[in-house]
Amino acid sequence: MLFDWLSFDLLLAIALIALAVAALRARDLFKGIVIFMLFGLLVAIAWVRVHAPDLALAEAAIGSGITGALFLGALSRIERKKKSTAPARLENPVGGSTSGAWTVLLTIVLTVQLALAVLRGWGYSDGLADEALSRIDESGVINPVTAVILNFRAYDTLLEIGVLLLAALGVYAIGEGPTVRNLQRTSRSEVLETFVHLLTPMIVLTAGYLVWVGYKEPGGAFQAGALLGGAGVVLLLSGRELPVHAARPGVRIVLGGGFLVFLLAGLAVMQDRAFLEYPRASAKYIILIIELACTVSIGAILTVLFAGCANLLTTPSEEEGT
Amino acid sequence: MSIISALSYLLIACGLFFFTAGTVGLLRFPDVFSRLHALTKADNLGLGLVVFGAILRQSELTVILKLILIWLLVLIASATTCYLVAESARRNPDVKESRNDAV
Amino acid sequence: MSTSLIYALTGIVIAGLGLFHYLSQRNILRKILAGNFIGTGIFLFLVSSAARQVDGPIDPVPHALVLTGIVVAVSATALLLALVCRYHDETGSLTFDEENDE
Repeated sequence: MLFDWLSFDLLLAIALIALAVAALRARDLFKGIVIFMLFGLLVAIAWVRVHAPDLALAEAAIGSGITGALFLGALSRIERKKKSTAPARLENPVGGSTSGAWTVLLTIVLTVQLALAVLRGWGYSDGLADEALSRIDESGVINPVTAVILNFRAYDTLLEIGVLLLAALGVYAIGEGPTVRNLQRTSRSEVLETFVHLLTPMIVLTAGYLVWVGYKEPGGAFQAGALLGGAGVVLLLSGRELPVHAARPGVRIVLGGGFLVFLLAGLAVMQDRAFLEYPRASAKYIILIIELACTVSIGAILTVLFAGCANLLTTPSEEEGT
Repeated sequence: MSIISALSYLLIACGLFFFTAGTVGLLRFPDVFSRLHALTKADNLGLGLVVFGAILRQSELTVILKLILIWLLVLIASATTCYLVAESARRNPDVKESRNDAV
Repeated sequence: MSTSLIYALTGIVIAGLGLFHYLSQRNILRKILAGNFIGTGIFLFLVSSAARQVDGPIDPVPHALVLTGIVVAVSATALLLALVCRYHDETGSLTFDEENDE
């Protein structure tokens, strides 16, 4: 072997820590966010190195994409607001931080303790691997991660979809700032238009593919939903009017659909089984239906969340009014 | 077999060289446009070489097609983002890279 | 030193860095960014622990936890950012410090 993978891992680990320091200490928050996105990209590589390709897929879309877009959206909204309220109090140059000695001490003690605990206990038990892997046949799928998410611990996942829905509701409830102008709709450029025309169908196709292969290979509702969310963000940024406002017809159904289908599937099997305990023969199809519904919902929820952060929730008619 | 293997290493090494050159350009060039130039030119070619190096080690057609698709998508995406960044830099010449508004 | 151990320790260091900045920064946006680093560090640690046996089976349970965790973390971040934006709209401030709001 030409490459010594161990040294590659060391280099990647050092790069991760260096990027974390650079992002956290950047004087300009904009730079910090950009470095954070770069960090997300490298974390995606780290997931592959610890045998977690499912996570790499999700992280590449979320860690290096959507989270960064959220931060940049919020930042540009705040900067515009600052400019519009003209001289305003120029806030204390908030690179300023209060690092008391106790903060340093607390952090160091906690980190060292954790590291020691890991070094002591490393390699003793194999956790739940045997239990999960030995009963994989009963789950209806082959990819163990999908089996855990949608079958063995489906109850957790149902509630997590619920959390996503709650976050979207929260963003709706927080609503729009009173005086802020909307994100400047980029003047339509041919290049961007063509790109979006080309990209969006590709992303939808890839998302569908990810759901489909999720039963045997890395993929599934969360990765595909993250991709769709990314497509939504790109569409919003390119100046498209997406129906993101809760008053638009169908939006609530799309947002809540994943949770609803999941819940109904759980209830439907309850005739002679426990909640969410799928019959073995049809488990594969039940899981596929739930995943399809959740993919669409997760994508829509992520899009709405971005719209909320970047102040794009207003419907066009409201926009004209202000 | 070994010739193909050696060729693949050679291609990947060339690709990495272009990546390095692009990165050096990004770090050392003075303004947005020349940085973009260095980055997109070098990275597109670099990725292309790496992809073709990787293709030589694959026998499955679907994997090869996926690799080529990835390269094409990156080409399109990087051309578009390059254009967008350049356009935005041209429109707001006052927003230089030192945006120290300390938010 | 096994691969997974390297990443577990990296995760812990990143979480520690995040925690320190979370506690010491005053700008709320920076606090949220630091919170994201804490999260990623802990995810890294959890998933590395799933592969801690060199040739043993890989535990899918932490993978599932972290996969949903990543998506939940991004939605929590979005909610926080929306809240901060609204807070800034109302008060013009990006910190919780009383003395800056005179």
